[in-house]
Amino acid sequence: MKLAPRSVLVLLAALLVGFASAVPDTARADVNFGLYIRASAGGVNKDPVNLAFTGNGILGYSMGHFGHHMGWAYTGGSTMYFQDHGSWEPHQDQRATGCDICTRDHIRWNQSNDAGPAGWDTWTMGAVHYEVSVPCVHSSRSFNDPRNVIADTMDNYSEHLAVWQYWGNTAASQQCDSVWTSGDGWIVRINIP
Amino acid sequence: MKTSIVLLPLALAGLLIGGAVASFARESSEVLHLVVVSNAGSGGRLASEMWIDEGRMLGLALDTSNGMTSRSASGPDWLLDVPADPARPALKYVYENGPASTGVPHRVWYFRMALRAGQATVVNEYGGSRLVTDASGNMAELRRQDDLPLWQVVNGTRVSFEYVLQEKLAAHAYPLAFFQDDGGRPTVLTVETDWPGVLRRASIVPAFPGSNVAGRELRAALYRRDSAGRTLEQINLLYGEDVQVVTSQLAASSASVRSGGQAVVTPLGDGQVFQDGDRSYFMVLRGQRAISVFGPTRDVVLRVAEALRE
Repeated sequence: MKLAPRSVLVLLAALLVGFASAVPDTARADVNFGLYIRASAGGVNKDPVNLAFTGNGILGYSMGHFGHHMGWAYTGGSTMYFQDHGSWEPHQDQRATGCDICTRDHIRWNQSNDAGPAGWDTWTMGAVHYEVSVPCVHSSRSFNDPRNVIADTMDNYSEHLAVWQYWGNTAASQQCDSVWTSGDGWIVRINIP
Repeated sequence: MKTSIVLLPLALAGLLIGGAVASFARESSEVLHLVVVSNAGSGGRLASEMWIDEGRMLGLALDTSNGMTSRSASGPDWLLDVPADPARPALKYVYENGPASTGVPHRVWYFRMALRAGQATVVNEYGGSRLVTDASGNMAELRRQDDLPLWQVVNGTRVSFEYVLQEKLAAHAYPLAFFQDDGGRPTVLTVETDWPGVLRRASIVPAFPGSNVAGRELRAALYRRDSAGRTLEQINLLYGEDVQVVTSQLAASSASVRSGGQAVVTPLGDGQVFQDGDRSYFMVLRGQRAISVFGPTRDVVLRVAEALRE
C-alpha cells in the first residue's frame, strides 16, 4: 500500500502531536518551585518544602528508596498543594510514621516538572513535618527534626548522599491550635540513583 | 557445710553494705515527681505532671480544659510554663539559661528557685509554710518541706495549686526518654514571646528594632534556639497578617545558598529579591547571619528591606 503525500503529512503530524502529548508540556530544565505548600492554591503558606530527591528522582524512585530506608507505612493525611513553575498541584503521595490522628512524622511529595541536567535533573519535592495529636487533630511542631532524621538516615548510604542548601524559607505558619511553627530555611538534596 | 557457714555471714554483710550504698545513692540524687492541678481563679484548671531535679526542671502538661486532653512536654533545654489565664489554656514554652532566670510567672517551681538563688526573701513563717516575696512584689506561700507553692500571686494574678501526687524517685527512674519524641529525638520548639522576651532571650540582634513595619503592627515574635542545628538561633517578627522579618544565625557560612533572585542594594548589604508565586521574599547574608523579609508584594518587601538596620 502506497500512501499519498498528503497522508504522510497527516501521519507525521499525528505522530508529532502524540509525542508532544506524551511529554509533560510543563517539563522544564530549571529549578522553579514554591518554597511552601498550602491547603489550597489561594490559601496561606504552610509547611516549607525542605527535601529534594534529585538526580534520578522521579516520584516512584524517590518513594521506593525512601520507603526502603525509612519504612514509613501510613498513608493518611489531608490534601496539600505544591507550587511547580507557577502552577499549584496537589500532592501526589504521602507517608507517615503513625495513623491519621496519631503524633507522627508526615511527608508529602510532588514530582517537579524539571527534567534536565541544567537544574537538579529529574527531582521530587518533599515537605515533612513532625505533628502532634491535638483536639483540632494535628499541629506541626517541627519541620527541621524529621527532615534531619531523613537526611541522616539516607546519608548513611553512599548512593543517597545528602547535600544541604540554604533557601531561607523561614516564614512561620500558624497551626490549628494557634501555635506558630517555622522551618530553619535549609533544604536537603538527597541523591536518587 | 563449713563453706556455707562461712559464706552466709559474708552474704548478709554484702546485702547490708549494698543496701546502704543504694540508700545513699537514692538520697543523694532524688527527683521529685509531682502531679499538680493549678487554678487561676475561675474556670480553667490545668493538670501538670513534672519531675524536678534541682537544676533541671522538666515537665509534662496535660491540658484538661474543654473536656479534652492534650499533651505537651518540655525539652532538654527549655521549660514548661502553665499559663495563668484560664481563658487561654494553650501552653507556653519558655527557654531558660539556668536557675537564676527571673520573671517567669506561675511556675510551680518559680519561688523555690528564686529563694535558693537569693532572689526571694522569707517575710513570715508559720506552721508548715512560709510567706516569700521577690523584688518585683510577687508573693507566695510555700510549703516548708519542699518550697513548693500552695498559692502565689505573680503580676497581680493569683494561682492556687493542688498536689494530687507527690513521690520521690531515684535518679535512675528519671524519665529521660520522656523528653524525647516517639522517634527518640530531642524536641526543639518555636516559642511565641513578646518584644522584651526576644531581647531577653536572643544572643543575636533582631533585624528590625521597631514595633511597626510598612503600616503593620508587630503581632507576635517567635524565638527558637537549637544548639545542634544548622541554624543556631532564629527570630521571626510577625507584622500584621502578611509581613515577616526573620533573623537567622547559621551554624556555619553556607557555601550553597539560593541564587537567581534580582540583586538589590540595601543598608544591610547586597541582597536578592525573589518572587515565589504570589509572595515576595528578600534575603541578605551577613557572614553567618541571614536576614529575610517575606511580604505580599515586591514593593512592600523592598520598603521593609530598605528600612532594616542592625
